[in-house]
Amino acid sequence: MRRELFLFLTIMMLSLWVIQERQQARRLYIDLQQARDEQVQLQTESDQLQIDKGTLSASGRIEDRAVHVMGMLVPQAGQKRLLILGQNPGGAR
Amino acid sequence: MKTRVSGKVFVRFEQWRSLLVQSLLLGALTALIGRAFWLQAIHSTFLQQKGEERYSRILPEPASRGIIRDRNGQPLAISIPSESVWANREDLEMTVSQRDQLAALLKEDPRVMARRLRGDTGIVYLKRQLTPEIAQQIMNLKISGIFVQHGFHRAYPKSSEMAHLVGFTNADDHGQEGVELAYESLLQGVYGARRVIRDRAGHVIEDVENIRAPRQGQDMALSVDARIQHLAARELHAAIATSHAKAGAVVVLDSQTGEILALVNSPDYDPNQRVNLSGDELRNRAITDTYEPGSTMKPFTIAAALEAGRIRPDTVIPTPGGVLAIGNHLIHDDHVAASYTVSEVIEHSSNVGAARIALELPARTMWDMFTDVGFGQKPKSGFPGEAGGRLRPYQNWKPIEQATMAFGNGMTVSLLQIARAYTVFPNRGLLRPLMLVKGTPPPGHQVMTDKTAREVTAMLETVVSPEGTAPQAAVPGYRVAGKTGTAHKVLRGHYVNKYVASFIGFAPVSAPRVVVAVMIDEPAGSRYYGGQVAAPVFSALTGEIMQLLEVPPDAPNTVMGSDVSAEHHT
Repeated sequence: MRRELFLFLTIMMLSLWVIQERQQARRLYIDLQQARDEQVQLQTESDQLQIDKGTLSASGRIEDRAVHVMGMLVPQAGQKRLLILGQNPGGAR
Repeated sequence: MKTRVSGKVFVRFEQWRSLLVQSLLLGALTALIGRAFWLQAIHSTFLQQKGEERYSRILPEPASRGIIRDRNGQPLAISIPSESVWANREDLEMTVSQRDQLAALLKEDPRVMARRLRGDTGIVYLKRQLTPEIAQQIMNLKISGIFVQHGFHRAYPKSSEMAHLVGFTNADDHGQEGVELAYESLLQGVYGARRVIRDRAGHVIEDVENIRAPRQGQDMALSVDARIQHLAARELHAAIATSHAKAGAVVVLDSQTGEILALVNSPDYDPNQRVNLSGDELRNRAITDTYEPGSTMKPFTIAAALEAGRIRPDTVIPTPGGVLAIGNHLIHDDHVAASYTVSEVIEHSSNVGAARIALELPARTMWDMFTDVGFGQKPKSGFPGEAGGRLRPYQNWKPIEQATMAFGNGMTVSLLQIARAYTVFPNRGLLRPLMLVKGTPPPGHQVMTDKTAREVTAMLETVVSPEGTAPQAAVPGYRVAGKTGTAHKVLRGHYVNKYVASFIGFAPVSAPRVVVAVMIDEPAGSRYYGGQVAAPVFSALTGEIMQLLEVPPDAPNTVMGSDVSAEHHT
């Protein structure tokens, strides 16, 4: 009789444990899903930032702003000065 | 039937009534057990299916298109999630208030939208490429018959500068032009699907099965340098504006590896705003258009003759009167001289000299050289729609054809094709395949000897000298070599007074880094020679590339001219 009671209680405990674990697994799975959604959102944000960065750092835009906002000029051939470092005007140092 | 015992009343049931009740109870129990057995054992599949329909769902697993970057990691094309809103007009039911709210979210005129939604049947897309936030707000309106479809929107941060190279995708995220089309299978992501169980709140609580795993599109890095691309676009647009030309193109190649560093066409378009695009804007002229290359072919004719041992750089070629008659045809030189050395034929771009050299060669020898450097064949860069140009079989060449082909008439090439061919000179006779994707260069094959390549390079260097046809191609501080080309255009089988001006060269000569090819289509006015229209583009662009790549000057003395002043600092 004691043996049957022990087995009964064990089965009951294991059943409760299974239910609890199952519930826990579902809760964790929901967390995982939320983390995945967050990952997608962050990836989207990262991509968007890359687009913004690429657009804002485009050479054409920088040049355009330099000319039209800051009043700079694209140097023409006659306006360039080539600096050659490490050499005397006469040749090697 | 009642009996009274000691003042109490008992109701005595008949035996049959008791049996009846017991039988009914037993029967009901049996029916219940039978029904339970039926449901649990025999009809279970159907029930399970019905149950699953209520809580299980098949969810799509999104897969985005791969990112395209330049050689330095700059993004050129990126996909970001976007939503499309569509309406099924059969099921559409909405109030005026809902319609106005929907129109406001879609930024459309409510009456225009209402007109689009008229009709009893059919699906109509209201708007594509909406942000997920706007799409969610639309779904919150809970309008029957309005649906949201998940997708991706492709963005091109470098806009028009990279348009012809990168191309674009359509509304369904499939490549339509350029790299987007050429590498569709690599870039395209494949959606996956999984069956899940949801709870009452709509949360996914369990994966039942993975029906199909998603495959994300692969990222790729091109060989292109966005900075050089910008410089090329800027110089090309400026030249076209100055020369009032119809169109133009520039190709920049790494002379050692065959990598495409820049490829620009004008006119171009903004791939982010593709409304009212014209065919002219879409044309990738550098790759799909062919033209008669004119004098830019002369170095290959000379190379063939050098390889065959028929000439040396100092061999004198008679060019009396600057005219050569072949049958009924006359070949003219722009600058008349009694004779030229082979080197001077290149320097002064003598048609007569080139024709005489060609006529000394068997047609097969010339054809072999032209074929070996890639003319008459698609350059196999990986771009869609590549043109192979026209190079007729040598067996059919007549003398006049062989003579005119020596200076690039009677055959056609694409700008990309001839730019690649020119890599043999700085690469000591080695021709490598073109590379559009960053990576290890594949092996090339030797198409001429190192000696011939060096001799032709020396000749090409004279072209940019003050006595040559393209002093405007000179780059202060650097030794450059190249060749001008000016060819009449052919319309309906006849030469007309419209020109294609070109210049193809490389720099620095002492340790070549880039080949730059410039083509200007139909420059207007009196300045239409390659040396006048295309050479200045080469000069400006090559000079800027040298500075960008931090290439040390190999001709520092040339910076002392009037154009550029130099200071030496210790």
